[in-house]
Amino acid sequence: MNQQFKKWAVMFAITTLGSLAIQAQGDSGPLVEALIKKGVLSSQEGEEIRAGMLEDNSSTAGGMLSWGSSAVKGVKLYGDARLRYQWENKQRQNVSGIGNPSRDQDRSRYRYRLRLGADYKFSENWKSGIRLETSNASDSTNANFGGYFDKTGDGVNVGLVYLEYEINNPELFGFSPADYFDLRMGKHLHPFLISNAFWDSDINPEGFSEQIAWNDVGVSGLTFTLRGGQYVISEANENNTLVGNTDSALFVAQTEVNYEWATKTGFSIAPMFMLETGGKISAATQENGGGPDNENADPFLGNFTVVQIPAQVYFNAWGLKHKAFGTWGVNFKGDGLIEQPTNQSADNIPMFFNVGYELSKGKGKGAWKLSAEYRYLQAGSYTTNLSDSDFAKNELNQAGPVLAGNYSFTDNISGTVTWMHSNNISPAFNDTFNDAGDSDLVQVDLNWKF
Amino acid sequence: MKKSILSLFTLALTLGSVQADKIVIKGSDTLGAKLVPQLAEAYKAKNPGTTFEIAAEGSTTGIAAVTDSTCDIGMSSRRAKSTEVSAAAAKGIKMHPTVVTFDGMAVIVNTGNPLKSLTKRQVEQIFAGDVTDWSAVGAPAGAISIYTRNTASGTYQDFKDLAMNKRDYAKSSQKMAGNEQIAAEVGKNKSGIGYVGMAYTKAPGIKVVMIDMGGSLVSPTKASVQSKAYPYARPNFFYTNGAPTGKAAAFLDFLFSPEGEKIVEQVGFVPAK
Repeated sequence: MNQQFKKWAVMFAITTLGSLAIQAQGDSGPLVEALIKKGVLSSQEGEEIRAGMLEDNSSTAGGMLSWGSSAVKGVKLYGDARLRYQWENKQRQNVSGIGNPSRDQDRSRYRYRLRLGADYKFSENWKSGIRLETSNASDSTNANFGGYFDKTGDGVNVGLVYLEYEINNPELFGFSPADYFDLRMGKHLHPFLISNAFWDSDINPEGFSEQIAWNDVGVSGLTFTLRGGQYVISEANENNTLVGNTDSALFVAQTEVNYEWATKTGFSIAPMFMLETGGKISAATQENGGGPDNENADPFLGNFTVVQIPAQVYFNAWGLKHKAFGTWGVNFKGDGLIEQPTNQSADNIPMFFNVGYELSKGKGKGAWKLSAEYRYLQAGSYTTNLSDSDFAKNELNQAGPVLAGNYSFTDNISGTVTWMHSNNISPAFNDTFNDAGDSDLVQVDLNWKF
Repeated sequence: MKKSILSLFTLALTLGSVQADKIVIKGSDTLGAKLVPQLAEAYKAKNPGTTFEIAAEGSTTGIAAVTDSTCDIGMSSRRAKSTEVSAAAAKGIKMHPTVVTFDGMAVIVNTGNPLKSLTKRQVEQIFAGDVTDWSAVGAPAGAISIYTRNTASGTYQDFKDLAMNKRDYAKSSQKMAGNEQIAAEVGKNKSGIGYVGMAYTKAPGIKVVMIDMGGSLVSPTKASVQSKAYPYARPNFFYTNGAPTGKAAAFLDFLFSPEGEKIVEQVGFVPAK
């Protein structure tokens, strides 16, 4: 075969069959190496093909990329966007007392969100991540359509900015105390095993998170993980003349036991302790000049000493992935949380729980997922600053089902439909923020990743 | 006056012809410390009037010299990176590789060290700093002294890619300018370990460690490098701006001739052809 023709044929094949990652790197090494080993190419031909592909890549936009710091060893750029139709209906309890008479709500709106991120890899196990997100609320990334096509409310803000140190088999004074260690600093994704019902998926804590894990502890497949979080909730200006201005923090500790006896088959149980330090913060002393800018939540977080136990069992059967999950928790200061705003007494320690089941199949185009869940949050049992901001319009003293279905139209475009319904648990407890009767929410989403 | 002008013209032609026969070769210490000088001497013997300027300060300097058009041939013991190819292309330089030899990077220890073999994992762990004492790999206890090349070296990069899973070298590793310096230091230090090209394994005081491939022990030899059985085998390159022409092509023709290949083998490399 004519040598030049053979080289061009191989280059065409590599370009056509090669992955985007290989093209982006301009290195078709493994494939060329295999062809050399098989005797299809000589070493010189292989090197000329590699050089030719590098040269082609250098003339593309991807090949011209360079980074400001030579310390960057790898970068992953990513993003996603979502279009949403949302209908929400909340009926105010028909009781006298405090509460806004006009709090019956029936609303539909069109919303969107955009998230743009970059993960950087440095040397010696260090990483960094940044992400810009629409919305400035802690528990939402949604912006509303409307406003005569203006950009008011459509700005992006910093959703993630963190530095991470992650290492397998860390060494300390010559021995390895664990199989895995991870430290995150900044505004980052939390590391805990916790249901989205009790930590809104849009909330990224600010502070420090640590994880340390041991694999195959006594038994193959048994993993023991300790996690901790130290987060700043509220920054008080100590120079403010109001008495008793101190910062407020949230401390979280979790122990997870995970046992897998077969591939993707096992269970996890992960008791968790959460403590808010009770800094004397009021909305007026907030550094930012007001209360927390949450879409739906309370302007303070206090009387929060919670123990919760998330657990899940997962397995494959009949060609489907199955997951049964649930959480049970109590707030040991929940009576104060009820009594403080409402001047009512609590007869029992407020508790919360959820239980659910999830079925899914596949990955990429044609994949689907169905889930059904029941949630129960007594008044004073939790904080709306962390719970799912969509459920019961982010109020406590509510219980009800959540049904959701997702289908992937292509590898990166999917649709999701979600329905939530909740009823008031106990009419006896109501305040400005817990006076909901029944609530309904429907969301229809079109999502895409890039 | 006419005689003066004629003399000056003749002198200029003479000087010009001398310059035209000068071959500038820069780059890899692996190629440039021994092999290329010996090839150059043999080439000069056959081509009187040819001179060479050889600078062996690391593969990175060779690739940079091709990009800057300050050499006729850039020697490199590693492939040019995509960023280097891009930078060259931006200057209108087409980085063309010619495989001139094959080489196996030998892991060496002091002859006073009883160690005979290491697994690939152990090699990675030692050079990455995970393992810091010889007792962990079955040798008499003692802190391991690691000798590596500096960051301009292609061997530094190739060893990192082939032997260390692209991990960083241990912070305690000592950077040396060339193969001969690594061989000299390991030869003096019973706790030393380093890596050199095959051509440098005959230095006094050092011995080659075999690599345990999980069933067989492999040393860097012509057979194991050609068959790629040796895990740390790699090609060595001459880079030129486009396909070699003129004096660069002539020198390469000599390298690939029977006389040139004989010199390649005598120095300790594996011929490419």
